Amino acid sequence: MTHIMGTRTSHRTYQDVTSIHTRIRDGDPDSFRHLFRSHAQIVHRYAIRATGDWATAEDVVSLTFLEAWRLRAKLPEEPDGAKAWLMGIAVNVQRNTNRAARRHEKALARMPAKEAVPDIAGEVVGRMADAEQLTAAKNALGKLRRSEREVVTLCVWSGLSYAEAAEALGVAVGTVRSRLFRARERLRKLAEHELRQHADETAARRRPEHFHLHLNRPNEKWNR
Amino acid sequence: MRISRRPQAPLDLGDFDLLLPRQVETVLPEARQDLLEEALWAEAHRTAPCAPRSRARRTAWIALPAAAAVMAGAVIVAPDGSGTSGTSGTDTRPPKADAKLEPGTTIGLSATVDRISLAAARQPALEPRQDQYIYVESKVRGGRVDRAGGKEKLVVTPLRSRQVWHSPDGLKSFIYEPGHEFMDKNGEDLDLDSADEVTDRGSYNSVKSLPTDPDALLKRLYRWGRMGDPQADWTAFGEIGQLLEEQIATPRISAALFKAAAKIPGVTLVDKAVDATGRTGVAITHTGPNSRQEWIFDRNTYEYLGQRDVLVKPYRGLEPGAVTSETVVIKRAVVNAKKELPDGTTL
Repeated sequence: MTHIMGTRTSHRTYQDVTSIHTRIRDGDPDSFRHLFRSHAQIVHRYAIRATGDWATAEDVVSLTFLEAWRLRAKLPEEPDGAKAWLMGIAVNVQRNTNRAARRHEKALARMPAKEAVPDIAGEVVGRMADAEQLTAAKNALGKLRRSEREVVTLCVWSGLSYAEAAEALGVAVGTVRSRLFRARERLRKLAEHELRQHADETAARRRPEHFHLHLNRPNEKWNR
Repeated sequence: MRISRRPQAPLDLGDFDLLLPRQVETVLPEARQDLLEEALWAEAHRTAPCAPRSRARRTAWIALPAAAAVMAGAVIVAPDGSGTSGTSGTDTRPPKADAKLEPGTTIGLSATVDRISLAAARQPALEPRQDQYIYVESKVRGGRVDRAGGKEKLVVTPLRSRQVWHSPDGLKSFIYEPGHEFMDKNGEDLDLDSADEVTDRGSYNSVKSLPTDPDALLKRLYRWGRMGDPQADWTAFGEIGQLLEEQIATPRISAALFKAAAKIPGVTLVDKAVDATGRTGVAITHTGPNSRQEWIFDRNTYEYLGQRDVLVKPYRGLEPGAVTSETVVIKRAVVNAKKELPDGTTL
C-alpha cells in the first residue's frame, strides 16, 4: 500500500493519489481506508515512541484517524501531504489524549477490544523486551522539553523530513532544526552527566567490569 | 528541502543513536491493524455523506419502500463444491460457497428494470413526520478477516438480526444489533452532535430531495468519477445498493434510482439468485474488483428482497462464488420513537 505515499516518479501514481485525497475530502470511507492502510504503521510507530506503551499507543492511532476523518476537509490535496498532516494530528492527539478521547468517546468504545490480539508465545517475550526499551526511551525523552521531544520523535524516530515535521507541528523549518539541535545538546549533556555518575557509582561499588561491559555491548539497551 | 547556508545544514540524526536508547522496530501487528481498519472504516461509514459501499456494518439511512415480506432467518444454500474450506482449519465454519456464479446478461435487463421501477413506483409511500422515526429491520451477515494461525482468512458471520431507527433529519438514530461483534448488546444511540454532520451524511430528508430524473440522479452518483471508469461505475452502483438496504425514498425517487442504475456501464441481469433467507429471484448485478453485488428481486412482484456480495475471484481463502456479505429487508415502518416497534411494543 505504499504507493499512496509513493514518490512522484510516476505521473499515474500522482493522479491516483490526488483523486484518493479528493475522495476522502468528499467523505468516501473506502478511500479513507486506503489512507489508514498506508499510514497506520507510521502513526503507530510515532504513537508508541511518544507514549511508551502499547495500549495508549493504540488509542492514539485510533483517535488520530478518527480525528483525521472528522477533519477530512482539511486533508491537503498534494499526494505527499498526507503524512505530515496525519502526524500533525497524531501530535495533537498525543498532547491531549483525554480531550480527543472525550470527543470520540462513543467511537472509541466501538473499537476492537484490546485483548483481541492473539499473542503467540514468542511475541509475548518480544513484547517484554520491547517494553523495557520503550520505557528507557520514554525516560530519556522525558528529560527534554515537550517541543524538543516532539521533533525528536518525528524526525529521528518516525523519519519525517524537517519540512514534514515543520508542517506537522505548524512551525517553521528553521524551528524544527533548532529544536533538534537543542534536544541533541541537552541529551549530550545528560549522557555525559549520567556516564560520570555511573562511573562514580561503579567505582564506589568496586565493580569496574560492569561499567566496562555496559559500554561495550552495543546491541543491548544503548546503541553503541 | 534546500539547504544552502551552514546554519541550515541538517543535523546528523545519527548523533541521536548515541544519545537515545536503541529503538526496537515496533510494528502494529497485522491482525490488529486489520481490526482497527475495519472498525475505523465502519466509523467513517457512520458519518459518511452518502457512503458508496458498505459491507460489515451499515448505518445508512432508511429504505426504499420495497418488499417487506417477513421470513424466518434460515440457513441458506448448500455448498456446491466450488468453494473449499480454509486450508488449515481451526475455523469450524466452512466458507459458504454458493451456487456457482450465474453469468449475467444484458438481454432483458431494461425490461426487467422497467418492471422493478414500476413496482417501486406503486409502493405505498412511507412518510414520516419530522418528529417520527423510520424503522428498518433486516437480516445481515458480513465478512471479517481472521488471521489467527497466521493465515489470512475471510470469515463470514452467521446471519443476524439488525434493527435501526432514524429521525428524518438524520440527527437521531438508534441501532440494535446484538449479534454484532463490536456493538453494544443493548443497542447504541447514534445521535449526532451537530446538524453539520447530518447534512453531510444523508437522511430521509436528503433522500427525499433527490432528483426524480434518472439522468440527474446519475450525475450525482458520479460526483466522484467518470462514467465508464470501472471504479466509478462500481461506486455508483454501490451507492444505490446502499440506499436499498436501509433508506426510504419516495416511490418516484425509488423508481428513478432503479432506472439510473440500469444506465451504469457493466450492469447485468442474473436470472437466478438466492437471498439470505433462501428466497429465489432475479438479480440486477454489477461486478467490482473482487466481487459482484447482486440486488435480488421477487420474480413475480419485482419487489426488492435483499442483496449480497459474491466473490468473482479467490479472496483471502475463499473461492469465487462464496457469498461475503448479504442483507435482506424484513420490515420497514414509521414509528413514533426510538426502540418503538411497528406493532406498538418497545424493544
